[in-house]
Amino acid sequence: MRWVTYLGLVLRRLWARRWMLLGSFLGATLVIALLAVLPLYEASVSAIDLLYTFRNAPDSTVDLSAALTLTEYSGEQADAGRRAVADASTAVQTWYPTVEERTVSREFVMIPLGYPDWLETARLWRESGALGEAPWPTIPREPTQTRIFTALDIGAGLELVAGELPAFEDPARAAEPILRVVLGEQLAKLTQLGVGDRVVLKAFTSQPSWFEIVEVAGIARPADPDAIMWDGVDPTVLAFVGPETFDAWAGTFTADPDADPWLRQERGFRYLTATRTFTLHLDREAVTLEEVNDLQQGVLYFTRAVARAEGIRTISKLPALIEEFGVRSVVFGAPILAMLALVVAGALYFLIYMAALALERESSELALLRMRGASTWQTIGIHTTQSAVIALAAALAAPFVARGMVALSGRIPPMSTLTGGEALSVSQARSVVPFVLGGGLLTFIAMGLAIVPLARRGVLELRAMASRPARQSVWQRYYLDLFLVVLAGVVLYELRRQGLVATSGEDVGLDPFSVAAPALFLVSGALLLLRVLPLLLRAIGWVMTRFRGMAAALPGWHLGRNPIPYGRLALLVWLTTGFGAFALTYADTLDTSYFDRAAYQSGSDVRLVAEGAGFLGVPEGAVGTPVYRTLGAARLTSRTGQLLAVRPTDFPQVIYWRGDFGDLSLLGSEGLGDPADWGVELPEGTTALEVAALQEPRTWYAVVSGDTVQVARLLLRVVDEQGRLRIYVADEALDDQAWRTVTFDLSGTAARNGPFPDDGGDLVLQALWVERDPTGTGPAAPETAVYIEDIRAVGAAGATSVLDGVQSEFEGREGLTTATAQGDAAVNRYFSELPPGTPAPSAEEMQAHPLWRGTDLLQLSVPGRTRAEAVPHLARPPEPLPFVLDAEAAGVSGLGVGDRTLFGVDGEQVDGWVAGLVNLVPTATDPRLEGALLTRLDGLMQWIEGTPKWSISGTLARVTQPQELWLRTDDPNGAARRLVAALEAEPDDLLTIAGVSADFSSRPIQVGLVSILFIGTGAGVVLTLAGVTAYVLMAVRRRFREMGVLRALGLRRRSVAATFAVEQMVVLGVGAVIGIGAGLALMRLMLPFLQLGEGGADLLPPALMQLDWVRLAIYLGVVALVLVAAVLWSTRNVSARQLSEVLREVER
Amino acid sequence: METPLVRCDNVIKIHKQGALEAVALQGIDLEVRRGEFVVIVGRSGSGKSSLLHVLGGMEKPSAGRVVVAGTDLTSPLGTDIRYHFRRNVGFVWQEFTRNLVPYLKAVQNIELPMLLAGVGRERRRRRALALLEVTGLRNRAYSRVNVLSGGEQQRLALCVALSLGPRLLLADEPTGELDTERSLQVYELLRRLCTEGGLTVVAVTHDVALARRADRVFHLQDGKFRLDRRVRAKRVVEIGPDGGVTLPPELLAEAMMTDRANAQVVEEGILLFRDAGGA
Repeated sequence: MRWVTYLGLVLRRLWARRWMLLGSFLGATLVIALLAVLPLYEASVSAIDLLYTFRNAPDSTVDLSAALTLTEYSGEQADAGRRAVADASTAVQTWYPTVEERTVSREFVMIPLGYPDWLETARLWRESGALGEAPWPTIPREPTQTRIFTALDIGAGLELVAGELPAFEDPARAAEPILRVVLGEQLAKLTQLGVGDRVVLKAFTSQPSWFEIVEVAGIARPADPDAIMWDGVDPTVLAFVGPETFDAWAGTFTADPDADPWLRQERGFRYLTATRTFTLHLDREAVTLEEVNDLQQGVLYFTRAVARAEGIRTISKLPALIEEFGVRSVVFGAPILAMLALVVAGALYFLIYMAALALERESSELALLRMRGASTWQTIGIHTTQSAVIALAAALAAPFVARGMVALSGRIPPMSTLTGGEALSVSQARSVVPFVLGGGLLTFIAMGLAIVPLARRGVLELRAMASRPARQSVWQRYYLDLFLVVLAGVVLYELRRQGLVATSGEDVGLDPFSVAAPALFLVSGALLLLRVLPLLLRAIGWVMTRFRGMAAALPGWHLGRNPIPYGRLALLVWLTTGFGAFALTYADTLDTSYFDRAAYQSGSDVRLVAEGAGFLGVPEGAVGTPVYRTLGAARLTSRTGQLLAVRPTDFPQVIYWRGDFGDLSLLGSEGLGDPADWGVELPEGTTALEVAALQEPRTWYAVVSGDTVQVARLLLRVVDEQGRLRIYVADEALDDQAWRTVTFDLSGTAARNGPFPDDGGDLVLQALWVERDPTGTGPAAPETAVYIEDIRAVGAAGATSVLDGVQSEFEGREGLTTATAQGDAAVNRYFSELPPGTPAPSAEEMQAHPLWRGTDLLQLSVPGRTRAEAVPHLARPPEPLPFVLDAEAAGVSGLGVGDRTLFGVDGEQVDGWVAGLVNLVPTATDPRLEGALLTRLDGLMQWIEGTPKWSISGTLARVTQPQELWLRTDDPNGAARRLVAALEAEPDDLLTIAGVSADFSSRPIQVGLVSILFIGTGAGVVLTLAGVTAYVLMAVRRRFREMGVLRALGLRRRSVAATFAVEQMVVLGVGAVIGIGAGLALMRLMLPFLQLGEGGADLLPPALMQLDWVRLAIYLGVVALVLVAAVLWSTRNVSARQLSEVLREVER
Repeated sequence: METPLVRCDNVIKIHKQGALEAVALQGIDLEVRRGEFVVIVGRSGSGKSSLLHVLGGMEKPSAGRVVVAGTDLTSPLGTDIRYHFRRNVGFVWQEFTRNLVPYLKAVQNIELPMLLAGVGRERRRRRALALLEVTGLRNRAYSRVNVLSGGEQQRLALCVALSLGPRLLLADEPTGELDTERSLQVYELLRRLCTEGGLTVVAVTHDVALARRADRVFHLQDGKFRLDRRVRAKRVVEIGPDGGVTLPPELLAEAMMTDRANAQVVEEGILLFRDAGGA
């Protein structure tokens, strides 16, 4: 009964102190709710992330498939597998409603009937004696491979081009059993088989005697090439039969030996290896957030259940997907939990703060109770019962608040972008129970513990507490703050050692100790600063007393006299502003990091990857640059890196670059140099080139003897202003018996590697090749020479000779030598060997001969060569190339700036030197490659394109085109659309920074992280508002006497209020400023531990701390506004009271 | 001889504040008998409250011995202060708020000490109502504290202080916030409790009217009693037409005056004291 009375007393106390205790209740509710939010939010965000992962993953990843491979296929065994899969699939039937089934055999050899004996054919051809007349024995139709495919609904999956899909016919009962199959369209083309044709099929895996002659019943193509049925196979090269047919022929059956050319009694494909695959296709629409975890469990069950069935193995990337999701959950869950821990720490501090304020308020009552005979335990009992009631009420309310908070987070940006503005579905509600219980206990202890030291105090001490300000805090008195700092130091050491996420082997785990690190750093730092605060306030107080006005001087005296009591208020404010500054900076850093990562992947606003993309016209308003991407190795090592060949004139303007990547100017002319002016510039408006040339003539004697000549043809290599390489072939071959002017039509469409648009601008002649005419067959080309009289550029303005330019610019390559020959060189050669009996011609006769020229000639001595040797040509020798290496490439190659070495690029050895080093190069994201190298596009083209390797059989030379176009533009989407439209084909890749960034930042778990930062910041502001209001109200009450004295001394009401407000403002201002400093310092401290990407790998590029001063100023403004409002509202008591009322208070 | 209820032997109290030491009581000797109404007067800072705190067990003296109702408050073995609060002393302070729990009703306030002491519900209620009856507050039993007048609150405070039946009532300016009429009510009540209920009262006050009603008045100055004046209210002496004063022989015997006395005019009249030569 007495307990009931006690409880009544406690309830009356609660009611009497309801407004003060409301703060404790709110604080307790918030602490418990935030603790409950830990699992709820994390689970909900993880669930939505998992859902997002499921919905965005390709079919091949989310589909489940089970494969039964039978080395001696039998329909019964395959059907047993079907039953096992059907049983296992009941667990996932909700999400995987249908089972797709197909059976594919191992490879069969298709041997044409009448397959010839090649050697015999060749022998007959050789022995026929008419080699020149009899046709060379062409290669007969080759044996090829195929696999037999069947599925339950094979008929629906095929679109017949010819013939039919044969109905099942039991071979055991047929008089002349023959397997009739449908061939894939491509297979039919390859084998040149048509409907009705027959071919031998023999399985690779079977004995030699198990083969069958099959008949082509039809030719088909897939009705839907993207259907799941064809996953992993090419349906155009398969042979199809119905499922019953497959089962019947995949075993053996007894047949009439007379119906078989080999007189076999047993027929069929014995020992056939075949795989029956069961594919369960995910119905993505059926996956709901609430069921994601069930789905996960169901998939695990399916995998295990199927694994128990004999011979079946599951082929699914789903476990890997779930594992990847798990890693991501840990990597991103760690900061989320750390943020929540930070918020919980702040809220817990608020709770302790409010409990302490409430106790201070109650101290006179405690004194009264003590005086009336209350024992220590009774005092403790009353207070702890009160704390228990509050904690209990808070624990009851908290789960709903937590659910509400989590649900609400789905309605506010940025999470609303994922949920479509719907409330976030809250999952795993049961898991909150231990958190709520723990939170309730924590809040009970936090509130209840404060009474212990008070309960033992004497009546007079308790009375003094009510009227005198607090002394040094417990933290400082017992050096707990220093202990916390030491503890924070240990945690920091631990973090440095292993990072925020602990990785052991392949497992990624969360170290709960490290999750508390940010909270520990912030709180310990704040407590440490608390020691400095009195000195700071004393100094500020001293400065304020220098002012004349009472509104400054009085607070100054007060601050200077006893600054210790302000510590608690300052601590509350700086924990809030500290968290706010940290959260804002973290959010900005994350935002920028998403952008940076996207930009690093994309390289520029728009990056188009497609064949010939580098030469696409740049959309209006954009700056574009072509990039050639390939592999390259410094020092010709096997340590291959990513090589980018770029145009230094505009590449630096287009590439996304960050200061810490290195010196951007190295990627421009300063590092890579200006594009070399190599080649002979053709006059503006040149439409054609004419070359007057002659192949070294046969002698007169050789001509009359019937000797033939391997004629030569000239080719040109020309580039336009865009850097597009064009290869032109002369309109006709050179003659050796007459000077001939061959013409090169320089319109883009005439280019042999074209067509090119004619908007290339001025052209530059870069090489002139002497190619042997392919009609002249033979194993090698003998040496010869070519005389060139003139090379003229023809345009609207007439013809201009460019021969001098060619002579001065070019030198012979690949054994070709140049010399100046006299005009009679060809004539002399012709007459150097005369037919027997022919008199030597006179000088006049020689001059009159058509081969004679009156001017000096350019003589090209073309060496003899094999097919394997490069084509001799005239060109400028390539110069050593400047390379810029990133830190990794420099590290693996051991090269430094200025080092000269050979670089391996696309199979060529390129002489180059290191022009500069940078730290990182955007787009070099392939982890398999070691570092990145940059060089000049035009220079590299000169090295790797300049050498024609093979021209006789058609291939002229490597025509390497920059396959990427990088754009800087204000309208990335518009530019991307225009580029794709111009491309007329699907690009290999199209990246925009905005697109990739959206992909990064829309990951639910990342959005969740940003959301929690905003939630924490908002909660901090609310708590500060409540805390400051409570504190100021208490302070006003405590110092009412002092205010009365001031009023009695003649100060006006507003002046007294202003005095008081200024005092609080100074403390709050100091707290806010220190808090922001502490928040930024915390961010700086934590940044190295937040450099983890999705897969747990280091972020590339590393995240840099970002500070948006405007946002920070807005936040500070909001906090200041809230604090000013709280102070003014709380001090309104002072200004509202009449003097008489105040004086009466003073008298008390 | 009857054992005094309160006995102080050479009590010294030094308050320490940092490095500063202030001597509040300097060798106080005091004996108060059961049923006595003792008033301590003195200027602010003279040590009145310190003495009251020492007697109430709220402060320990720095030196000396204090025994209240048989409880040695200076015992080196420690004192059960809770027992002292519950059984020996009751307190009434000047500020109403220090005496009463504001959110409880009048009767609940009286019951509170009994509740803490483990008194049963029926007994609590009976005793509370009886006290309210005595103090004339029966009709205010279920009123909240904040609706009571100042005098009622102070009387209620007396009820609270007396609820556990203490042997000593310590009152610190019990009429400080009351007007004269209300103060008189309180004085009469205290007087009645002393004479009829055998309660011993030690009160600290500036109120001359209260001092006049006391059995003894101690004047505290700088931590020491200046004079122990025992005033017998009914002992009035006649001044003859020649200015002669005849003092009752028992009074002279008590004052140990025989044939000669020194007379000195003081603020309140003429003070007679023993002649050093004649003593």
